[in-house]
Amino acid sequence: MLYYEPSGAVLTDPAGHGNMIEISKFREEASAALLKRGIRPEDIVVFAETDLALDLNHASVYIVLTETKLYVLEGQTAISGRPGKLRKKAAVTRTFIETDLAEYEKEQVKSPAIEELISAGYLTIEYSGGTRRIAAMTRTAMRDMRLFVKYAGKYLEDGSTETDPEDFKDDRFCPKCGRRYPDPNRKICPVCMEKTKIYKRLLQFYKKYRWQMLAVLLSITALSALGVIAPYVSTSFFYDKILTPGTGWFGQIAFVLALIVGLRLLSTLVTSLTGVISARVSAYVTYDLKRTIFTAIERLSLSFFTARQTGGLMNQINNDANTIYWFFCQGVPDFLKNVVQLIAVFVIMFIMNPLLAGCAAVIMPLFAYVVWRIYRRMTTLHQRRYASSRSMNSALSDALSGFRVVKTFAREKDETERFDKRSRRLANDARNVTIFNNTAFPFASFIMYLSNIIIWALGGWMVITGAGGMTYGKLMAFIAYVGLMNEPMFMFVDMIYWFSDCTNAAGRLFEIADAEPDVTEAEQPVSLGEMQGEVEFRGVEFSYDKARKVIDGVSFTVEPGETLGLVGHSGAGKSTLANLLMRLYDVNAGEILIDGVNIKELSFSELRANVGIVSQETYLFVGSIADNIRYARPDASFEEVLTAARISGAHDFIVKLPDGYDTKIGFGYKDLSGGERQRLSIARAVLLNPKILILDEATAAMDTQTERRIQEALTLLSKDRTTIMIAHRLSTLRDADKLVVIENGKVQETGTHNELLIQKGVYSKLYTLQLEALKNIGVEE
Amino acid sequence: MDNALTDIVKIEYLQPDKAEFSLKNGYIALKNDQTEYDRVFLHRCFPNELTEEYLSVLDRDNNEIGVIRRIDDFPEETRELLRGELKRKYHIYTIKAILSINEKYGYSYWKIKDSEGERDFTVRDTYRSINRITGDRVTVTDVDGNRFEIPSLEALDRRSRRKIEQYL
Ligand SMILES: Nc1ncnc2c1ncn2[C@@H]1O[C@H](COP(=O)(O)OP(=O)(O)OP(=O)(O)O)[C@@H](O)[C@H]1O
Ligand SMILES: [Mg+2]
Repeated sequence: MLYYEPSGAVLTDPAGHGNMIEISKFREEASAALLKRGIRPEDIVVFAETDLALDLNHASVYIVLTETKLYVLEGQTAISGRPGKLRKKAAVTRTFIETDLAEYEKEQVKSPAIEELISAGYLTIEYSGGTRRIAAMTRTAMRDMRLFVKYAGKYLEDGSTETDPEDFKDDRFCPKCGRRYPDPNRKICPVCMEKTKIYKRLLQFYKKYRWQMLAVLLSITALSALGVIAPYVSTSFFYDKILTPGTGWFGQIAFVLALIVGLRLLSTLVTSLTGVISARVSAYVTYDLKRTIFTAIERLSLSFFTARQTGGLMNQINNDANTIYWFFCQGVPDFLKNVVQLIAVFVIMFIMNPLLAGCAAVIMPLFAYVVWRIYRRMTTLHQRRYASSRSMNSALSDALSGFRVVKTFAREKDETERFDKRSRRLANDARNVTIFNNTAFPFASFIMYLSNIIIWALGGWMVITGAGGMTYGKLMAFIAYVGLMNEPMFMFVDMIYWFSDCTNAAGRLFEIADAEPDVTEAEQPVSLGEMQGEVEFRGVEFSYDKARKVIDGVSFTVEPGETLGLVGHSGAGKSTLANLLMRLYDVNAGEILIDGVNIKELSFSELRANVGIVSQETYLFVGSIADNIRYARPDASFEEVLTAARISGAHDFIVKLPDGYDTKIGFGYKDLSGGERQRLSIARAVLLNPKILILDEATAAMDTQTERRIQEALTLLSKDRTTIMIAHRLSTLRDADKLVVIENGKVQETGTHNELLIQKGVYSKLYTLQLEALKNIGVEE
Repeated sequence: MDNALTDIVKIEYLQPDKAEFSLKNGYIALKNDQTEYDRVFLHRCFPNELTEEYLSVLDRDNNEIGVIRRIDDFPEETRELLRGELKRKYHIYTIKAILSINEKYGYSYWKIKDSEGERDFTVRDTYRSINRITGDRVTVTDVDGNRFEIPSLEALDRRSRRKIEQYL
């Protein structure tokens, strides 16, 4: 029935598969091998293939569930013929050689599951009263095995064979080349990414500046032409005309000097002009580029950042933008100049003496190739130095940003040593680069020089024999021109690397610009108008990574204006529920409704304006206290800021500061205490005045008295506000209308404080413990 | 200092004379002081440094039953049993030679040789996926989470070493 893989191997009769749930591709050799064992395709209910035998050696293993049995057929697949590239089709014949067959009675098989090892995994079942490992898999095959567990489990439980087409789309591979997508969340194949496209896109950024670019191109051409004329004037023209009697130019030294100086001056002027224009244009383009990327980043969802290090990301963007800047500001103009120069030189040389020009055309590239080989070694050295400098920088920034910890544990010496070690490595690598530069470059120059010598020798011989009408002056010009070819040759070698660096940099940047946020806004959002503030979680499931469900079927309702308390052990998933309600992540299954509308259908602006959160981790930006409070609503009046600060209890400490609300805080400025930071965060949320307020351990760092005061103020304010309060200190939740106890991502208990006490479950245990703790130190609540 | 700390809180070590390990359905079962567990899991506390010491023994629900201080403290049969289970759990592919590493935009495609033949895999963040364990032991993690090990960089042939060196 289900039959995907339209481009796959030819299967004689897809219909013959009956109702098979074909998780892995049911290839001919599998069909044949199973038939040999009397298992017909039409009897198979679920079919999957894995890649490790039970002894964890590589193998082909078919896992087959029929109406009566579960088979595990182990063997090796021999492939003969021309292998294709990765998943590409190829002219091969595949044969399966059976090594082992295990059978299990379907009636006794229960709860298939996956046991994860460090790098591999086992498929397990409950069989005749105990758990058994029946097959193994690498992490690569684990996807198929999870599906097997899902569908086989369902079938074993109630005989249902319903499938979700989503599960059968294997989009882990690039459809073009069959390679794995390196990042499962973003379907970009770095190999098939078209380079020309990258450059086309880069050029888009330059479009605005096309006139400037044209000016640069023209002046570059002019420059090269001037550069090529100059040697002619100072050699051939000088010797053969000025210094040779009877040419009409004889003796006009002053004229030729003026000409040389004039040309030189002109080319200097044009050079600096080109430099100025291209620097300006490139700077603007880099700015545009960075802005584009930054806008793109802001749009992305939280998961994009947790998958990468934010610091590293910013660094990378900066570096990449700089690479592009230098490539276009210097690389491209230089390259063009050299191309024009090389062509012009060749043309002139050909006109002067085709024979010698021909020799040069053969010899020069040959030597350039040798130089290129030397260069290759160079890049490895450079890369190594780059890596060391990165590692040293990270050690340094680590030690500096964690300075407080370093000090408190008196680890200054070790940190210095750590830094010292890396710094020494960098010094070593830098030394190697310099040594290489100082030995290889002269050597390379020497090789280039040798090639020049050969041409001199040939030319000298031609002057003596008079072959090809060679004169002394022409030879001098030739020598000068050969010298002019050296630079472009070096430059082209350089350009190879520059070019690939720039492609990589641009590729990475565009990749970020193109990344699709996983949390997307509804195209036609529903507007609630006046929000009532009813929140409902309905069978919500969620996992940060596929391996573990953090939230597993959570359902509860909060009536408008109600205060709900969320309780549970550390790591139970409370903050995750808050993140889901804020749509920082999207649920995997189930739905979250506000006033009966799925939050996925609301616009971001409406959602964020109505749902405010004071999160567990307080984050303050560099800026004044007032700015920090006003963050969500920059247009708030002073009075509103003051009121919000009052409610959150922040006002008390702010007025004690010499600069009051204008005190600068954040990294590098005034440090606030944990409780003070929390109060600012609360003020920020209160100022937004959302219909639904989430307080995630918002008062955990404060003394009970301060907490009490803030809560009283909040209660006054929260008459018609829905509040979700997360707290470990149960006294914080005493005003909650309802409590939900979360355990391992599931709702364990629900009810009021009193109801839960009577139930004598998790909550009552927690409560008794906390109460006892307080009694022990003589505090009665 | 250290002694004082370990005096205050005692780690629950499994005693060789009280903890009986046995094989049941291919799993390790444990009888510890009258309590029976039909299936326990071993977890190395310091997988990089100590492979046969400080093994946490967990029950089905991932609650720690106790810690095996040293495998060698246990009788021969048990040792075999525990070692076999550890070997399965920490099974990792060994890279014998690196045939090529193709890097594109920070991702890389590897072609390697292990004990059974050639293998390809894809690595997401090349620098961060290569983990230098101790001395010259290195592991590489691919997109799927498969781990590959190079037991000794020194022992690798020159060509292979050159290929991986620039990412270390
Ligand atoms: N960004 C993330 N990526 C992967 N796992 C995460 C992430 N954030 C949290 N987790 C995991 O999800 C689980 C639930 O985390 P959550 O922050 O919701 O717990 P919590 O109930 O708020 O705990 P606490 O009371 O300590 O704040 C934890 O096991 C945690 O390790
Ligand atoms: Mg939390």
